Amino acid sequence: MKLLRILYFASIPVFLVIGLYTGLAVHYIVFFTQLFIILVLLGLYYWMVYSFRFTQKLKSDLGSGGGETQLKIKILNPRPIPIALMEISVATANPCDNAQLSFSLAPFEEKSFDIKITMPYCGVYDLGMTRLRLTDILGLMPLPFDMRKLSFYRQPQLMVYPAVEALSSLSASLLDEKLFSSSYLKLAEEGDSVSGLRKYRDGDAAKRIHWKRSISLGELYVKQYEHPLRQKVFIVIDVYTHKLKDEARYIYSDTVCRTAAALCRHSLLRRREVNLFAMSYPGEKLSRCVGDNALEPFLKWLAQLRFDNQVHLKTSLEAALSASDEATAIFVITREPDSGLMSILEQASVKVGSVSLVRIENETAYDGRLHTMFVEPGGSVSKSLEVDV
Amino acid sequence: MKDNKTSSILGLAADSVCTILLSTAFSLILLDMLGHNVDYGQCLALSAISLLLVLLFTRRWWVFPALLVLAALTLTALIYVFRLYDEMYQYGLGLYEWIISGYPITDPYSYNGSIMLVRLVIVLPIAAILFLYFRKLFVFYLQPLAAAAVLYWLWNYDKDMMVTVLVLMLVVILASMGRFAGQRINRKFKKSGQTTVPLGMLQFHALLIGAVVLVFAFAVSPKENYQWRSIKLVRFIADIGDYYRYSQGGATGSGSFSLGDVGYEGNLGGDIELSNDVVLKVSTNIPVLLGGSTYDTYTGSTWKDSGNNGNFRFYSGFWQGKRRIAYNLDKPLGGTKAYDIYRELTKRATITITPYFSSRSLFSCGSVISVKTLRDSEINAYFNLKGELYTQTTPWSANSPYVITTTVFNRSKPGFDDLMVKLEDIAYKKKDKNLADIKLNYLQLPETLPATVYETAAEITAGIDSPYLQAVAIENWLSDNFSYTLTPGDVPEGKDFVQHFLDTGEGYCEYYASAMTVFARCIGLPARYVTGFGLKESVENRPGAYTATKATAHAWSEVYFKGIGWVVFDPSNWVFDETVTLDPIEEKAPAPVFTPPVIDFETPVLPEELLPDLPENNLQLSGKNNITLLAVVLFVIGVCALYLLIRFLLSYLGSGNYYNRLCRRYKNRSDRLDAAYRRLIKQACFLGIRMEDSDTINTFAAKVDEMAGNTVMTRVCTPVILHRFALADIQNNDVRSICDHYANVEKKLRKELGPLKYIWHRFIIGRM
Repeated sequence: MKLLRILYFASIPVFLVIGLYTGLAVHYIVFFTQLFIILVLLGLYYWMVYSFRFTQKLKSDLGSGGGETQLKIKILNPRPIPIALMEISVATANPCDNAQLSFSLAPFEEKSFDIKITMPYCGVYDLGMTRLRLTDILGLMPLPFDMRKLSFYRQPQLMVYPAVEALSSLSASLLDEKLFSSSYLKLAEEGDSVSGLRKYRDGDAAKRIHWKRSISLGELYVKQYEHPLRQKVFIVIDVYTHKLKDEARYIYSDTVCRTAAALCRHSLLRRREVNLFAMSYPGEKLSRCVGDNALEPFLKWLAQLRFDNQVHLKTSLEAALSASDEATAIFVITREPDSGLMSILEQASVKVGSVSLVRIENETAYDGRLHTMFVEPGGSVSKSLEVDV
Repeated sequence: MKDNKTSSILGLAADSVCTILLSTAFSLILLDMLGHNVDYGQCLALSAISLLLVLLFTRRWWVFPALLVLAALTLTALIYVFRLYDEMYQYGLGLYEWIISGYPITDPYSYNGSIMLVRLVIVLPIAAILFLYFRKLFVFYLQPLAAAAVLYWLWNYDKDMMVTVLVLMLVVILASMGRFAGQRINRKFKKSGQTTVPLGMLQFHALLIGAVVLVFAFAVSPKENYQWRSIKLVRFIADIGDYYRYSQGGATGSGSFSLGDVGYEGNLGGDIELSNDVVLKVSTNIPVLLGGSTYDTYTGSTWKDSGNNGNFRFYSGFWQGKRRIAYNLDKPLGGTKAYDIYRELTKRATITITPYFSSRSLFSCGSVISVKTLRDSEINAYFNLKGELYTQTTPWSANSPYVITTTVFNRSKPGFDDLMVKLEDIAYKKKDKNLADIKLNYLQLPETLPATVYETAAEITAGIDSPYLQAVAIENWLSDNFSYTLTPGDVPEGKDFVQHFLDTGEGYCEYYASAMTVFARCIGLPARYVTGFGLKESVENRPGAYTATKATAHAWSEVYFKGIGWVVFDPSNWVFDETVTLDPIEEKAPAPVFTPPVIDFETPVLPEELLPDLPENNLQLSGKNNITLLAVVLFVIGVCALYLLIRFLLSYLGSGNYYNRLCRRYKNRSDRLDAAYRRLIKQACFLGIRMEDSDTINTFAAKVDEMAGNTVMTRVCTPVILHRFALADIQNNDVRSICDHYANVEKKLRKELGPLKYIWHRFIIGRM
């Protein structure tokens, strides 16, 4: 085909020149035929691009790392002219492995494809058709087209939560120590210390009415409790990808998120107040996730986290330190902390409850004073975190 | 594909149509070669019937016999009902005669229609083979090759048939291209185990598209051959051929005029008798000698050419340098001072010449500037290094006027000799780069030239230093000491012609011109022998109107002076202001009546009826109405190419240019900074780094730097941030540094991609 294309396009100016030279009409007929064929094929190409119909449906737009879903693509050729070859690149949840569809379509024919979407890494993904390559029926001009340039085109979005691993214990961690300070023994749900009164509102429990004060003031007042004190767990995430490329980058970011998710789950089960800190993409704004006891908001926050190639762990760490107190456990998840960061962490470890460093890399010798754990990129988080260094 | 059955039916239909079309094309040629007078419709019908028969043969085995039986029964019934016994008898007789006589094409066989049967027998195997090819033996590349071969053959056989055959073949080729594309795609699919593309459907649709496109192509193409011929292109290619031949040393050309054509002897000398037949009608502001042929080699008995003078088209861009050499257009040397004197010595002449005979020679003189028709269109004239002007192949038609614009030395001007000596003083000091070649060609003398000739030349010029004055001395000496006669007698065998002239002391122009040229060469002045026509005032006695007859055919000499050029010397003293004497026979001559027009020398115009038919080699691109589309197409292509070229060149001009453009376009610095920054963003987009909604200038710059592996973008973008958010003042250098960065990136891109890829990616598809 390539030879034919070269011959075809090269012969166009040749026929024109020969026509001009000899003046014979036959050369002009060939020249104009070639020229018009190109125009017709271009016309058909644009007609196809803007007229072919398609639907893209995801079986589920939510999943967690390691799972699977399905993308159904239906394509209809509504024109009376066949498409010799249509090649479509389909974006999947694995950024390193896009699917490719190649097929031909008869006039008015519809074809459907079920594409298995694996979800190896957490994140938010735009799935579905991205690029087209249409080969005309003469095989002369295989023209590409980016579907994303169409104003009406929307790709289905898939959110992949990080896989959550259960930690039975977190060795040598503040989280597993029993605390006997009175402030930590208060009830979490309702509180036990009356901090004041407020006027009764519909729906307030009758048992919370302060009868004595209500009688003296002539209207209903209810008791207001102090917010329960809980130990805080701050997880600071480094979104710097350390110049990792391609799949290694995705494996790294996924391991960071899985580690954070495992720590979140572990802390929430122990009724700790969890705060996640990271710089939001593109790295100028601090993003903080403060959740209830539910894990899902944390997972969603982690899935939406954008990793990039900028160093800004220091900013998020400083934010976490300024919000921390002596009862705060801080976990810093990163790959290679530099010496500046290490000194900040070591200073902080004196002021706050505990500072732990979770390094996403293969275990190496470490002689620092900080409590450090190693998680192998792509490896099991639970196995790594349960091992004390 | 949806329906394989539909596809196979469409494929069969497409194959059938292709077979019919191709069979029609081949039958047209074959039947024409065999002497049958058939038209396109007949061939088409014969091909269709043949294909039908082939289809019947190739379906179920019983279909054809069954149809035969059915046809026989129907025929018998018709004969019986309509009583067609005689007609059937005659038809049968025709068939019988055809069978026994071999191959009939003559009329007796057509009276009863049996000739059509004969033709069917010829067409049937063609259709069968083609159908077999399309169904079973399809090889795409065979078709364009076969088409090219057939068309090439038709080029020589019958050009009129080419268009029809080409159109038929093109439709088939386009349909086959669809099938070929399908085959290739199928090969790809089979490797990956996918379902294949039904070829028939592609072929059928390709056939439809091809047919429609061909109708349009046919409609816009020229209806007749040579309508859209570009004479400029033809000449350009001829120039390339000339250049090649000249570089190989094989190019030489000259006009066809010689004095022998008008009554002179083949060799020099001898008695002559010349008629007064009119050969040229000339209108000129200055009477001049019109040269037709120039010779450089003297043999002792005749003048001839050395044959190494090139062959150049007068208006070709290739040969402007040669034209300057041949016509002294680069003279005089010596700057303004020399040029001022030169202007006084020369005069611009506009000469309208109407030849009364057909010849390739175009008569001219002096430093020719232009050769045009009366309509002011350039003539496709050629010249050689001797300064001869002529047409290449087709002789210039009789009665076709042409206009020569030239500069000639006006030797009749008072004080000419003094000015010439002055000019000589200036020009002789300069280096004349043509002089060596000229000396090589124009100082030749035969070894047999008697010593007395050398001695005489030396005696004549003794004591004179100026080359010009030496030439004048020779001219005067010849003019004063020899007598003019048309009957000087024959030159003795073996005797040198000039020596003979010196001995006899009488002769006509050939004698004088030869002696002048030989004497000049003897004293080291390059000189050449020129033949052509002198002019006499026309019988109409109008100012500027002259006539040349056979009797005014003339020979003279031209001498080359260093840094000045060729100057005419005519020792026989031609007199222009005599009225031409015409023979009575001229009145009866069948030559067209020539009424010399009133010539305005500034803009010479002849009446419309005198305008010549242009010779073939002066064809211009015609068919203006039909050419509009081609012009539009070429214009669009040209504009696109020009646009790309300009963009490409602009990208080469660098940052300084871009900065200047910004300064011109935007008055205040803030706008310039914004424009430059926007340009940077676009450039980054082209490189695949998009600016997201959430991106700030800083983060975007960091992304770009990350990709580039440096911090230049951040640095150059800092002024933008400072200006936008801190309202800092903008310096010119800030804008310039952005422009520099932009230009550097473009430069790197060009270097990495190469110019063609760069144009393709940067300007056409807009992404990497």
